[in-house]
Amino acid sequence: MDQEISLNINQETTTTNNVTHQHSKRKLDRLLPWLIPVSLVILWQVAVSTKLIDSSFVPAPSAVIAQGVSLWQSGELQKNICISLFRASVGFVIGGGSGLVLGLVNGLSKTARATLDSTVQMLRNIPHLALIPVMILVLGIGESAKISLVAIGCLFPMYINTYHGITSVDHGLIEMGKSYGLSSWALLRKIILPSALPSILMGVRYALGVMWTTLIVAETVSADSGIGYMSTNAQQFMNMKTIFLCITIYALLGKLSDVIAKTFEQIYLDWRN
Amino acid sequence: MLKYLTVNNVSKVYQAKTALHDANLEVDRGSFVAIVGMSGSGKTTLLRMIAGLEQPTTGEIRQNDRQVTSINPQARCMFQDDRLLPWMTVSENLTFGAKDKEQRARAQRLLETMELMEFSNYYPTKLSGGQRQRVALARALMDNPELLLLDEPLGALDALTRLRMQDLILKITNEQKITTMLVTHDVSEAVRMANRIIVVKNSQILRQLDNPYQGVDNENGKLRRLELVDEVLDIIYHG
Amino acid sequence: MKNNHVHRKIFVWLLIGVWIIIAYFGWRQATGAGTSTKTITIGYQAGDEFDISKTRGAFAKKMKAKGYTVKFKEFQNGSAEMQALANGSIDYARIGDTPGITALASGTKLTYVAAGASKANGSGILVKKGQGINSMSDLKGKTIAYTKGTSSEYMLRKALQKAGLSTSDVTLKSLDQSAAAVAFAKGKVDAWANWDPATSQAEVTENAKLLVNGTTLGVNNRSFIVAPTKFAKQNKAVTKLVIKYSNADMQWANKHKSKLVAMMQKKLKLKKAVVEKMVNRRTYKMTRMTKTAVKELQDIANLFYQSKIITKKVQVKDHVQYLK
Repeated sequence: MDQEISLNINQETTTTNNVTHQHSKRKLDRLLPWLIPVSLVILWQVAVSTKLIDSSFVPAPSAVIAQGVSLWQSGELQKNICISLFRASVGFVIGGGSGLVLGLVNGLSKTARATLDSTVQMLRNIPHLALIPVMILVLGIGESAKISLVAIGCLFPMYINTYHGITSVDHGLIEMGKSYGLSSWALLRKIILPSALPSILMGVRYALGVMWTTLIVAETVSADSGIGYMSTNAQQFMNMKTIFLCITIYALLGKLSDVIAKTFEQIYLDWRN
Repeated sequence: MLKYLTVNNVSKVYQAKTALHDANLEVDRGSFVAIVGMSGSGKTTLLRMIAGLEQPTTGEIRQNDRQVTSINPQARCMFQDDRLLPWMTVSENLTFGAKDKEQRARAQRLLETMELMEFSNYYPTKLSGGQRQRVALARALMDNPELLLLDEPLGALDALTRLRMQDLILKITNEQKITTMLVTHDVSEAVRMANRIIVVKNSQILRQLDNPYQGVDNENGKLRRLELVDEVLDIIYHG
Repeated sequence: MKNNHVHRKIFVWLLIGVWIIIAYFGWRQATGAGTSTKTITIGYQAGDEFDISKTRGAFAKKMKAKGYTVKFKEFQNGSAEMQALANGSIDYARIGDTPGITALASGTKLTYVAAGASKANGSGILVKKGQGINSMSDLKGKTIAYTKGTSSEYMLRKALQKAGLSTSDVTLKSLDQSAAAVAFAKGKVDAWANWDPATSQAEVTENAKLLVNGTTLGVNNRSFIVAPTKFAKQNKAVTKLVIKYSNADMQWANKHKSKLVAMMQKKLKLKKAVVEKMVNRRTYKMTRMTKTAVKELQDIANLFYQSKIITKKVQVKDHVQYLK
């Protein structure tokens, strides 16, 4: 350890003149992703303020924020966000979890693969939003219908990526593990799962994306709460401010889930770079 | 005297293709055997059967007078691709992530021998090819194997690194008296390292030659080794 | 070099923790509207639609099955209900057609969610028989009792307007229900603008008659259900249930008039003849808001504004929820 540290120190001292430059560059790199969204919002505000855009159709960002504040004060905003998040999370956990298990089982067992895979592949090609009428008829318009829809949406990306990750494990590594006396369990834990992890996390990211899009649709079709409902309801009354607010919230929630997925990749896949 | 390892009339057939035909071989305990031949000659197949990674179609392989029928627990393999686990650090690769104190201490000692101490917390992707193969060697030595099976582990290294690795392997196998079998297409490597050379051609063991000059560091030794290289090459090409 | 990513791990798990907490609240709220019980407080007046539901009992049972505990609160008149609604002590109120307008004008945030059937035949201006008052014009110079800000005021003004009389041609006396009843019985007022069951009661016991009724005046004197705007917005599902089950009771009432009479008689402690008269001259129903009903309300609002009963113009359509 001491050696390493001294090594690092050496490296740093030799590159001192680069450090400050690199530091400011890194700062810039961090700000860069915000450049376009922030300037878009500013442009938007200016365009509305100067009446370049009709504010009755596209309200100014400030008006959208004000709407958000007033909806927050009435308690409606928090309530709907909470409910949407609940539906999304439960759907994701159920669907993503089943996808993961199914992917693992089919990836590991040839019998399971032969029995299940072609069925799953067949079902996969049905656009899951086409199931909305069926869901409403079978499960009604309660929570279970919306959650099931999200679950179905999350299942397939999770399944496909897990399955792909498991089946594309380098055979040489498995052979090495076997010849080094690893048990089946150790083989799974030390070699197969870590090897499939990048693909599984990719599945998580896809599933999170599908989770939100499915939820929006599910909530606009049949709900009396949630962000999607807020948006449809606002649409009926031509309440553009609320509509834009809902869009913004979806964007933020989407970004949030992406940040979580990305951080998991940074933590558990740091060996890749 | 009973030989440490015997290969008796072993054949291996993949579908319609014969990979090895009627191989017979005896290996003394503590000896260093090199198996040379062109690619596709069947030398790797022979090694894999000794490792227990594959089973002979006919014949049998016996080690310590016991038939090898599955993964050979006394043997450890090194492969041409190092097969390090990229998601584990160097030291974790040796212990397979085990938290066991003794194992970790042993891993540290081995890394010291390999002059890899400072990299013990690095991921393999950060290491050079030679360093990675040294990690793989350390991993192979973790469980004190009786038999070390080397499947062209140095094939991808540059000449100088290769020489260093050869010396390192020789030093360790000599010190610890590990029976070693090396598959290589590099005849001079075989002559430099092994005291017995098996020439494989067209899925058959063509010749077995002793190499009494292995490790003999005088002029004569070097000359004799060069002659042996010539002889082996001659067998491979014309035998 | 292996990195333990301690900060990243703390960050991401904290984020997930917050996510789970928020989702938990969402779960509580989502299921709170579905399975766990929530109390709905409904304001009503004696003998009205909700009184039938309350007495019959089926309404509360059905709501209970959907996870709502119903509490009924009786009020003497619409303005009292409107006050209770404004301070949030009731979630729904069954009112006549005017209290909502005056409440809206005074800034109460309420939303019309449902409308009842016409009660035109039971509402009107009462006079005693044999007093020589046979038409509206006979009321000139007479004293008429009404209750301020209620349907009676609208009806009265509409009646005067129709007869070509102005408010200065008559003496108007705003009295509350019980005071007006006494005043009318004792002959202190010559006429009384009111609605059932007071009208039936007077007709049966006081030898009174309806000089004009809602039908002749074109005044439907409907019942409405109103709710605080915020509550209405957040509880559409509940409102739908309230309308559905209330209307079921109304249909029952239409089919079982004799049972209804017995029930109301007991409840209102009125003579059977009175209740019979009241019940037989109307039909019951409760539906979501209709354009017709809104137009009627707007008429009232306009008249009230012109008559300076309210000082603010009220756009009724801005306070209506048309449920699907």
